[in-house]
Amino acid sequence: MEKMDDLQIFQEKKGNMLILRLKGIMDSSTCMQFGILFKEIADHPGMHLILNLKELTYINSIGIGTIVSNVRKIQNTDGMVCFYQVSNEVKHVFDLTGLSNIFFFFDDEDSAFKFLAGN
Amino acid sequence: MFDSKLVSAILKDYISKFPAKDKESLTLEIDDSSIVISLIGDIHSLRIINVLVNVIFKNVDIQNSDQFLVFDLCLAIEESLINIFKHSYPKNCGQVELRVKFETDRIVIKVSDYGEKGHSFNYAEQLKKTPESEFSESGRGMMIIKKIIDDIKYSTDNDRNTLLLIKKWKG
Repeated sequence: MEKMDDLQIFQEKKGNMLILRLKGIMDSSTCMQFGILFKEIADHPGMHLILNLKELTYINSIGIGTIVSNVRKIQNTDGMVCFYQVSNEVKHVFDLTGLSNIFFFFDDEDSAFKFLAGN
Repeated sequence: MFDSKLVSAILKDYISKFPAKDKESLTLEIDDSSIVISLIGDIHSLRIINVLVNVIFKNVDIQNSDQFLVFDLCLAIEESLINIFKHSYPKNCGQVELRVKFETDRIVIKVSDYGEKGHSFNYAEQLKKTPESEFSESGRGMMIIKKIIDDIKYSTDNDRNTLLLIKKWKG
């Protein structure tokens, strides 16, 4: 059934970089699990985060708020965050909320990886 | 543009597959040009309405006018409902009513609640506000609605508070 999907999070760690692939939707019912995972990352200073949002098909203001506030926590622990392969719909919501200008978006994982490795 | 019999049949098919408690929480009325969905629930009920709204807009001939039109309408309605459940009801639970009317060159959406006066969300204030900082966790719902919707009005009539959203579209 459309839009009744949950959120699945796939993790892969490469050195001090954690790659998260999000699949499904991020709204009031699913953002909590993402927040819990983010807290674990923020507990490791210097950890960088790469988010693959290719299969994230929907996000609302609650999901955006969860990402934004947790990105700040990671940045506060000297970590960096960037996004790649963001689905058109989710990028559109980043555009609507004016956040496209303050985050880093890349076409593929390699570009995102190189960007964080150089910073 | 709006085939009420077709949309009604598709919606009823979807609703028949919902869990019993979700089915009991909502009512549906459809006439030749409009749809009314009424639901008693909380913020986790948004999925139900969002599924139905998706079905409605995807089965009405509006999709060619804008790549994100259906997505945007669903998002604007969801953000309106989030505001209601967060701000209109003291226990974040109550009745919401969604009316969608299809006109020649515009879609008229009314999102209503029956929250107590005083608890009701202050749209006049919220329409002026922006998030306190780029990294604020909240404050983007109304920003999204304002970006998507062409005309927004808020009114209170007796016990019912209504947010009127008008979206123009190229027919």
